[in-house]
Amino acid sequence: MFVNIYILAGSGGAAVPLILHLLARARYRNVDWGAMMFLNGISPRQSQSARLKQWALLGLRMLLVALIAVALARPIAGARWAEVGTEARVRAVIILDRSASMGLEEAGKSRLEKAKEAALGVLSALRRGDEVALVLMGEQIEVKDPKANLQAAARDVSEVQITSGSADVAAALEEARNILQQEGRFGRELYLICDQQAVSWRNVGGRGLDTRWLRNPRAPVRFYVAPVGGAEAENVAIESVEAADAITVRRHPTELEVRLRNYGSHARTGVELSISSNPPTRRRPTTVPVNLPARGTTTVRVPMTFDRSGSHIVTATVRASDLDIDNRLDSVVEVMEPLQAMIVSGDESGSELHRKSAFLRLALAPYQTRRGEAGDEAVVTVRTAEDWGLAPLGKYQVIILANVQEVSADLARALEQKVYEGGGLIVCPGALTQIDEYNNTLYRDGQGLLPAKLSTPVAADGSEATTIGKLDGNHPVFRFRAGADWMPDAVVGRYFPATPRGDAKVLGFYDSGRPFLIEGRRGRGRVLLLTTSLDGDWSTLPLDGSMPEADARGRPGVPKHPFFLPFVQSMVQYVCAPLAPNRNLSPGESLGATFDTALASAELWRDDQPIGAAPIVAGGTQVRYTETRTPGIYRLQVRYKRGGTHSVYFVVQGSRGEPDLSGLSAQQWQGYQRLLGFSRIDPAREPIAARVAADRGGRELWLPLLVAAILMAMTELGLGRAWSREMA
Amino acid sequence: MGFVSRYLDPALVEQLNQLQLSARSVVQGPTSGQHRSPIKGASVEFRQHRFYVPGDEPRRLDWRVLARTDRPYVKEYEEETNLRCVLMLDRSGSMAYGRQFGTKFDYAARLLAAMAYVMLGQTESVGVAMCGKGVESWLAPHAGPTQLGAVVNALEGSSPEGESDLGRAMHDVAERLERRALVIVLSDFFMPPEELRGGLAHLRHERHEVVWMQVVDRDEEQFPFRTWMRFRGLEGECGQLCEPVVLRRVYLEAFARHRRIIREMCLGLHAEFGSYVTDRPVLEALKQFVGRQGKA
Repeated sequence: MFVNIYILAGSGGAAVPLILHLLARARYRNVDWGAMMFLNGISPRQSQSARLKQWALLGLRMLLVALIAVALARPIAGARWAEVGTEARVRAVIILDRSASMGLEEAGKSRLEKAKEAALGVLSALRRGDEVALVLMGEQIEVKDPKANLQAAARDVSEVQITSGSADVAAALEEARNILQQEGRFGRELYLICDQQAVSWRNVGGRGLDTRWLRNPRAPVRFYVAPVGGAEAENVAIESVEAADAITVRRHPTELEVRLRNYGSHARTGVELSISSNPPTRRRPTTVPVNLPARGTTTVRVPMTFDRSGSHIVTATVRASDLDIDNRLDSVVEVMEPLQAMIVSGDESGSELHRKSAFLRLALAPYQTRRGEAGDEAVVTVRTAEDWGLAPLGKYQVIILANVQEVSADLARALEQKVYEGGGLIVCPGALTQIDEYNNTLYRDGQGLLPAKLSTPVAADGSEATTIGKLDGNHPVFRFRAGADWMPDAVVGRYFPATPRGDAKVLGFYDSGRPFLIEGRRGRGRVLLLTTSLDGDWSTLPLDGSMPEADARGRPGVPKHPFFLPFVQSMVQYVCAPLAPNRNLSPGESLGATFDTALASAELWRDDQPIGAAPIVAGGTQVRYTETRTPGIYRLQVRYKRGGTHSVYFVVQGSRGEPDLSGLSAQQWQGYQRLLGFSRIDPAREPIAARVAADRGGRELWLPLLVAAILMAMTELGLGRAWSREMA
Repeated sequence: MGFVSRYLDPALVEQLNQLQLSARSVVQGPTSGQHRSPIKGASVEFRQHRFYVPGDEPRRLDWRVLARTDRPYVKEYEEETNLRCVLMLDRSGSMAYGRQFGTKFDYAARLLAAMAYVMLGQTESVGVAMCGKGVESWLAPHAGPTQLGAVVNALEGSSPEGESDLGRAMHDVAERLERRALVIVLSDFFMPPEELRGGLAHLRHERHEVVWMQVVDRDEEQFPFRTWMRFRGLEGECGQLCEPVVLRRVYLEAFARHRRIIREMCLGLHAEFGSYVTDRPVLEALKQFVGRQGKA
């Protein structure tokens, strides 16, 4: 490689002696010579010897010119890239990986610490006048502009912290290109210091990444990749923590689902999983042992009851000797006050169990009904079909039509507005239901709330009785079945054949093949339509058909698979879910909260560090904040105008791609090396400063070449004289 | 008729008047001169004493030595006689070379004229033989004031050209000379030595004193050429295109070897050899020549 490569063209001057030789030969002088006998007496051998010497001298002269040209071009031996000599100023970009995987400790030192050492090694190889820029990979790419103050750059390196996100090498290379392609006469150096995690390179090699600039001979770049850490892939991570129920109600028993993933190639047994809550629940933090298959997931359901409404930060922690950052996951569970449910009953006359609302009420508020100590999921209000129109619908989150005969147009509009605003509607037609009225006011040729058109119910004589044959186990409504394949034993004597509209979804079927449960959506709300009643008239569903036989002493058995109660509760939770505030956000997702009264102020904290005031919008009752790129636990503290404060928690969860620590294979390394043209340095084996200094400087050869040229000139002179020396 | 001043510069003549030329060996000349004569005469210079032997003339006894030593010794005398010299000038083509200081022929001619002037001033006989392929013109040795003009005329009428056969010329001169003489050959001697040997031997056989004066140009002696040259032979030889610097060593070796051979040849035949370069003044050359005789 050459510092002044263009001067190398001067080596063409090596042809000059030859040209001069030929010109001189062509432009010879004539001399009338008297001593011809001494010329003509030269033997052929002497003549040939003389010619050889002549050519040797000519060759020496040509070589001499070429040697001088090469020396002036300042070749560098050992330098791997051109255009950089020992004196050229350097602009270096250091891409430093600070993603979550860099937090893995190996031999008592984290990967990030090793990376910092390597980066400082790079800085130590720079000289006064050189510039360095930092590109930090992680949750977001952070660029620190080029600076000549190397000490300040070293401080920047030392202050780098782990972020929760994953690295994106392709994006970092784009940032580096912007820096290195700026105009200027300087050597360009690029250092990528990262771990061997393959997921970081996922976008390299894609169509969007231009790599030609790395191989531009006019602006060559010395590119080094220094991977730190091993290719270890054993890691257990908590993937998700969420409430099993769509709505979590105060004092209502619920479950938390924690999903763990083992990224390693070996199964893990007895991994300790701990669950805690803040504010704390009545129950002490739970610790359970979990077994994980190799490269697989395990879902653990942990029972939980929240005593207070409001934001609860639930933290799942797994004890594993691997990457720490994914061994803990925070999630916010917004615990609500019991749902306000209104059951519109078609007939409340008769004994309690004969009322159309009876079983529904029992299912939704068993403790209220029985005056137990635990919490009901809902506060149930029962209205008759005649007077329910007088009740304001606003306070109810879910309305259940239980065998109601008909719905007036006004009430249908009110229901529609309620659903569009996010409220829930469950329709359970029965013997009293007038299908024409329902179809006219609630279905309205598919434009209404009802997700299906009802037809005349099947024969009342039971000749078309059926059972429930198929349920969508993946749907949240049937989540309570925990993936089991059992079916309720209930017999459905009568039901309405229904024709679902195009956008409706059938969640369950009878054995007859006709829909059992149909979901529809309107606006922000959800509507569930059962095609049979839940008052015991047409089916044995309320009686929970999966009832074991009494024992030998006649004592009632415990139901193996309770269906009706969890089914009703699950339906109510599902249709009310849109009303549940979203407290678990992705980076960049808007953080918002709505309050009943006007706010005087709203302040935000992140991980107990104040951020500042949050914007209050919508007449002073809403807060909306969009700067949520940084993961963490956000606390929104509001002060009401009327007095009083209230805190709401949010969790912004970072990228979960980092837990996969699988490293690049040897073939992948080779492929990227070919594509990007980098040199790989192992900082553990080879001091990066020494390698860089050697590659940068190489060894300039101009001096030895010049000395060789001088010696050659002297040789040419000497030989020339020696070969024409006068004999004494 | 040639101008004497062309060959004898007035300043040179001033200096030549100081010079005396003599022959090393004894030569015969018609008149009494400064040179030794093998004929011992009465009015000649005492040479040595010799013990009297019966038959010697009594008048030659040295009575004073007898009176002192009671032993009879006779005196021997040397008869001084004048020099008879033939100056042979090579007028072959090779003598036409000369780059800066005139041709070798001109130099040799001036040297010849100078020697003729000196010797004629010493009342010696001088002749000139212009040599090419043989003796091409002959001026018999004579003394006297008009001989110088004849010498100049002989020089004027010649120019260097053609091939040379100096050996044959020397044979010719040996045949022409009736009495012993000093033969001075002025040439570059650029010919095979074996062609010269016969002529030299003939002259020596006739007991002539022979002096070879090799006249060369400095270029021929040093071969200083560097750029490409086409050397064209002055005597019709094939030309040669070459880069002189490459052939220089070989040339100089050949030149030196040739000179050594003819020098040794001269020594072997009791002739004298001297080399004279044309960039040296004629007077210096003459002094060099005289110096070898031990008399200036």
